[in-house]
Amino acid sequence: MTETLAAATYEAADQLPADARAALRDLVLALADSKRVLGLRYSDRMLGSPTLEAGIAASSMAQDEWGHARLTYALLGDLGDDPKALEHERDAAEYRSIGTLDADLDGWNGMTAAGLLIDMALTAQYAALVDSRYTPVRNRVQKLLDEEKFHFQYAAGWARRIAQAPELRDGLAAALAKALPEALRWLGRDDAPGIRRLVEEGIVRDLPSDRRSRFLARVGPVLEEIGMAGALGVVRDAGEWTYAGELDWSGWDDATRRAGGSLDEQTAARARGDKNRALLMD
Amino acid sequence: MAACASSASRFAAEGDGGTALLDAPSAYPVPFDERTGPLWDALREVMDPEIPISLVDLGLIYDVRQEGNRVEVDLTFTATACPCMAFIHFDIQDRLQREPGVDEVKVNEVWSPAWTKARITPEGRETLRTFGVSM
Repeated sequence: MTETLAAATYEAADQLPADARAALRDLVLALADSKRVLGLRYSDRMLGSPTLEAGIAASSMAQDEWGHARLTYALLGDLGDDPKALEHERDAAEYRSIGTLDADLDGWNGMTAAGLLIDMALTAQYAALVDSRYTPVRNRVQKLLDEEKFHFQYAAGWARRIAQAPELRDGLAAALAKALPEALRWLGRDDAPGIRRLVEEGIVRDLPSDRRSRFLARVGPVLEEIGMAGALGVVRDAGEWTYAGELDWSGWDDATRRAGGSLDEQTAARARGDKNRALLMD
Repeated sequence: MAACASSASRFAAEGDGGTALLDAPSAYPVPFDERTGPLWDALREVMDPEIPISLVDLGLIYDVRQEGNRVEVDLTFTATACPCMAFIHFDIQDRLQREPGVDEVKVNEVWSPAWTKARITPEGRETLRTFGVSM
């Protein structure tokens, strides 16, 4: 049994075929950058939140995201990069964070939409790594997923609460409508060669369309409960959740998971920790 | 801040960065009743910085091994963004280096299997109850 398991796993990245290794590096960097910037955006909602407790929750979620970013960036060492250089030395244009986080979250509606849709899209991608044949990533993911359960519950709770206030519903609906297509698109295209190689090698469990289905199965019931699923194009048909809209793939780069645009330099400077560079540790 | 700077230097000097990964061996973490001997006893003196029980009782120590004068500790954390990671590394190294015959202490950070409240020992649970903490 032990021999079978050892033969079936990649203990280090240099055991991977070159094309799969490159694709894995793309995926890990997109995940790490997205986690880093999501943590920043959550942290910006700590003050001026609806309640003091909500601000503390935003702080805790920001802390979690940066913990996840730390674990994810550290994987890049095995993939041939210098993780510290990637974390602290890159220009804004080199960040591969999910595009919708290029802008600040628009108030608590934006915070709620990001928690429910952007955070859960990232979680759907991590969940596809939980039984990965690449040992270093498999060993890190379960704890991260455990922590994300609370983010989902928290965001869903706020979505239900805001949706009950007639004067607030439109704002939440707009924030969700803005985030949903980006969340779905970020999960990628089935025909991207790198993504297919990761699935073939057993590094990622399944294809982007499968991940989209799982993502929709998780957030769909919440959207339906608050009466916004239909307007967002999220449809339940015979127990399956689907998206009725068309995703715009123009300009899409499968490696960076972006379609142009860039993080701004000021946000990148915060992500890099420029002002505290002399104190950097770990 | 001085402690942070000091432990940062230590990580840099050893080149580990606190990010070593280990695959999970069988029977891991070490079962409660097998956590015996001077190294485990020493680690029972290392308290978690935030929760008033030892790292062993909190279930953060998955294994400790000695080969010659070198000791390796497999350590996890309650959260991926535990703000006390550096302090905990530092405290483990300081305490174990006071043990006879121990010159070098390497701390491996591990995340699999993930920590849960179930890893708190019965003794740890009892102590937490005396502090009014239910886990």
